Amino acid sequence: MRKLFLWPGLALIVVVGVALTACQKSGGGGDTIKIGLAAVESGSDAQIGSTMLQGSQIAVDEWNNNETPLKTYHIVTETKQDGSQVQVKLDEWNAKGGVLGKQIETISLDDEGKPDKAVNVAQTLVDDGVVGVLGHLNSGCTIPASRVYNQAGIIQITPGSTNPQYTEQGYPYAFRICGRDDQQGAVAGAFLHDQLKLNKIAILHNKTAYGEGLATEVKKTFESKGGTVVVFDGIGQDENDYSANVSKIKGSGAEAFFWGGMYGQGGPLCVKMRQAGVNIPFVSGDGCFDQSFINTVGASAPDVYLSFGRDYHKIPAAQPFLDKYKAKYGHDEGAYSVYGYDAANVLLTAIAQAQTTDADKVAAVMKSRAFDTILGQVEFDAKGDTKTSGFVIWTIKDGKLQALPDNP
Amino acid sequence: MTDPSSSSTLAEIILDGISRGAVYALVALGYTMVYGVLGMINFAHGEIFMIGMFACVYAIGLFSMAWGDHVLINLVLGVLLAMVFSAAYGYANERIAYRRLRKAHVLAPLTSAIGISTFLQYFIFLTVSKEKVQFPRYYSDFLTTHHLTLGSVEITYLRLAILGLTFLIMGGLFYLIHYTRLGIALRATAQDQLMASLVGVPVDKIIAFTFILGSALAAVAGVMVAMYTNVLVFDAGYRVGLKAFTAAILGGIGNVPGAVLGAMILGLTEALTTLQFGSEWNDVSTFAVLMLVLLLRPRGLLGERVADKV
Amino acid sequence: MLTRWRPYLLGLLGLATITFPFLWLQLAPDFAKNTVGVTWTPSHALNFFGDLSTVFVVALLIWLGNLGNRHFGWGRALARNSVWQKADHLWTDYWAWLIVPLLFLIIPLNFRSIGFVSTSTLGLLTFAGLYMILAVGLNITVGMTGLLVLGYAGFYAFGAYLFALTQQYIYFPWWMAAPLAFIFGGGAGYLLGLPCLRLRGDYLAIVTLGFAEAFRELMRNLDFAGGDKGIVLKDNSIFQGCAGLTNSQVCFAVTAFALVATVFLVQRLFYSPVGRAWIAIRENEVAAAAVGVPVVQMKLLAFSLSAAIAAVAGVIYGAKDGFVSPAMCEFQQSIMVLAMVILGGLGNSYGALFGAGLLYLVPEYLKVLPSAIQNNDALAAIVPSFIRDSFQHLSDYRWLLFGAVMVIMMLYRPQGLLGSSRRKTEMLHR
Repeated sequence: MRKLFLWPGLALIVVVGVALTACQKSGGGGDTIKIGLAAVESGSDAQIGSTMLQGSQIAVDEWNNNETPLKTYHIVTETKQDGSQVQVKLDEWNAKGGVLGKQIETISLDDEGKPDKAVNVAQTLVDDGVVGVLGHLNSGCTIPASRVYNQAGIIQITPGSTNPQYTEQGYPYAFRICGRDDQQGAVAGAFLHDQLKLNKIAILHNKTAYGEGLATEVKKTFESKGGTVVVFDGIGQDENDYSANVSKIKGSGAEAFFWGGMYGQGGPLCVKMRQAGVNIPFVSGDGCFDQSFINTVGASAPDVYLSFGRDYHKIPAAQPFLDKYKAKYGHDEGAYSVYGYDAANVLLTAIAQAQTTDADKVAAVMKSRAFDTILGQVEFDAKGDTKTSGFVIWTIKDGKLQALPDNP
Repeated sequence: MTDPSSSSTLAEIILDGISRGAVYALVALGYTMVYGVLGMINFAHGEIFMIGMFACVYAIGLFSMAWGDHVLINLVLGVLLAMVFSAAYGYANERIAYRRLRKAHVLAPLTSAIGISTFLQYFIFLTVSKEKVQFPRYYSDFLTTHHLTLGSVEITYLRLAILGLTFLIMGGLFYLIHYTRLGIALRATAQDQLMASLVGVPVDKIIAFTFILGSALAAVAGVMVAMYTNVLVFDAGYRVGLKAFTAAILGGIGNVPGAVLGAMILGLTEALTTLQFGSEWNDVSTFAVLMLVLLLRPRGLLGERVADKV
Repeated sequence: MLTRWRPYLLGLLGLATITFPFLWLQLAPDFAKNTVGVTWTPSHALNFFGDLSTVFVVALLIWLGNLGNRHFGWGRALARNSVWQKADHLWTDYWAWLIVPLLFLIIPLNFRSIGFVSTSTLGLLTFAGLYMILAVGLNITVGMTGLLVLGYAGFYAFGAYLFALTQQYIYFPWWMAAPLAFIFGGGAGYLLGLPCLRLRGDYLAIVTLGFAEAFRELMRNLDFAGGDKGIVLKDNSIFQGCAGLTNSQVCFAVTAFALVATVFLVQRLFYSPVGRAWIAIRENEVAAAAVGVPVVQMKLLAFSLSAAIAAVAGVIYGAKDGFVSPAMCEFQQSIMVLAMVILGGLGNSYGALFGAGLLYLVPEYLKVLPSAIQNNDALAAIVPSFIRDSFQHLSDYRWLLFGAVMVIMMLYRPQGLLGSSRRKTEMLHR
């Protein structure tokens, strides 16, 4: 009896699978422009990844409904078929909503935060015929995936990966809208040496592409300014007992501590240091920039400094977006929602101006002009990084993260 | 590094290593006890430990809602409730996943245990929190901020409690197994379940008792570790469980003092690796120690208890 | 009646009690005072368990139908049909196993020519093929010899790193790297197995698990191995399109070829004296030693062979994607392969193939299901909304199901979906 059901069972699986594939294809057709959204949406980083993509989704919805506040109206010259040149206002197209007169369709995929999965996701997006990709979040995913996008000739803008290697690979279609670890590391390193006037620091990192990369940049900057790094160690991501590390830092005589990693470990680490009586300044990067970090270390924790981008809560242009986000998703934005929103707007504006989805032309447009975003003007350099990084040092004041006033 | 305080650093590191070892030992005792009686690796023990952590925080939450934040009452009741909860989970595990497989091929209960372990991890992941939850420090502050000064090192009360508890439980288990009637029944079950049942040992109950005791101890360990690291997370049991298991093998699995010895060696290895090479080499050095011991003394440092396996 | 159901009712009540706080309450930490409270917030997982109970009802209906079939003979005429009997016969003919991987090879390639299988589906199938190779390899130790290996992904990553490092530092064509990985992977397995295979099987489980963890840490720490970022090779894929095939088709063909070769090798060994020795060890080690089976050598052979197969799979992965990273040997990966072997059928290569296909492809298809439904009005009309909702979180719930699958299979069908009744007897009675 068991065997009786086996073949039909197998056949059913095959048929259902094939049918699903077929559905996918037929559903995906039509006269739309496809944008891929890819980030980690499951597992423990799910929140930060999905809020980032939700930011991008809001931008796309605005374009589709023709209500984007940031849309810049350009008068561009278009060559007609008979050779005569006429000036076209893009908003004639834009009046229809979408971009290039077509609606924008997003394909959102989950890379699970795993590099091998990310390559797979990238391949799937390429096969689905996207013209641009906004993502991924983790540097470890963005870097291997970027090769797939670039060999397929697809624009990729990452809203959140800060590892320098991503744009150092020399790919023409790889862009990043956030800062780089070396910019961030330089800011943090300079802060430690110049503003806190210290000469000996200890560094720990979480051994990921992000954490170790950032920690290495801080080390480089700090040492180039004449300081010494007395401890430079990695901690496994699932390690929760830091007492031996803290004792080592205590014994090394470090005057400040830098953590290259996420808030999940950074918070308890900071608490552990304070409990062990190590009251040196605790400095970290954007990975700790989260409310739950403050919750862990306490609302009035002294000597805690984080490097992060500009304070968008103080930018008036950001307010409509933040309100809209809250209205649509029912919760506050994540750390990268604004970046996701900006990245989508930059990509769509560039496509609109290039009047084509051809990656070469879009990339040329992106590198040729400045874009108005809610984080200010963004210009890309030849590598695809933003020209101004905008990293500033933040500290905890009255239970909130606030940018230090004396920052440039 | 030429540092004036290097000797005190070394002392502190050794203390850290011992505390870390004690944490592993608390979990390893549970592994070794189940192994001693049943001859199976209870892979889900680490998850029971994790459940104990969460149950304690839930209990504290409930009590503080009920009658306010009384540190001692809430903490003690929380630990007790966590023990009851963990014991219930341990018993449920045994009843659902292992009892039917008691006579099966070795592979079956082990696979079942891995299944339970994965299930429980993701159960907590999906129902409680995907992220790290912090232990309410209001309840652990007394233990973590007060300390005893011995020469140049300071031992917090919490570390003293963990160390004391480790040796207390070790001694208690040793006494239970070797000098009580219940211990005789345990050893009889370990040697031959059929024969034991023939002479009137209630084998099912004895095995259930083993799981309940081991799980309750895991809950105590869980609360201690939660206070010590300040962090509760769904996969906390996996890592500690893996290390604890390695420790149990190091000391000779099934051997109660061996588990503690192995755990101490492991904790010290990790702490000294941190001092000398940096903590990124911890896992590698642990594995090297394990392979070395298996090569030189295949049955563990203190020897596996074969005749009286408990 | 009540007496009969009482233990079940009590059990359910007990389970409800111990899962109650996690399912219905949510922690509400008070960060100002560093204390904690709880709030009444049913967790999202409740929806999932609710949906699951619907699935149970469906399964119950099917089971009842099956019962009716057995009693009233609804399907008996069908069962008597000679086609089924011939298909029945096929299972026992060992060379027939090869047909399945061959089908796996031929079907998508043919479909492609009529534009039926998209490249992404082909990519999925290639991955499924890799998992099939891994499952067949792991099946040698877990299923055939009865040794548990918990760090199988360690060898997979070992092969992949071997390939990537040789690619990066000394140029090496991939078709030479594969046999090399076979030898080195087997060697690593041999060295690892040597100290612990003399002991009881449990040691192997934990040592391999330790090996996978230590290897991951090692690769993360070593700078020349790229650290956590892994190694990104220059080319997207070592395989180039050739003979009218695209790149992904070549990847698929190479995977399928390796799969056929693996299944062939394993099946030949299984039906040789070596395989008999493995079964003897699995069934009773002492008795096997008594009748002259060289137990340790045979265990070592099984273990290093399965390690070698994983290493070759790693090479194919590395060559296919041109990218390796330490994430390849995470514990989850090992567990996934183990769950495939257990679900499909311990000790049965065909079962391992089946399990791998099922556990890899079904979640992948289910993942695209919500968007497929959304894009297709006809489907959207018939599929109830709760299915869509829970599928959205499927990649998280998947692991819950994997765990449950392992327990349930061990309790009720230890031989796996495609195992023999003989295997069941072995598993349940020591």
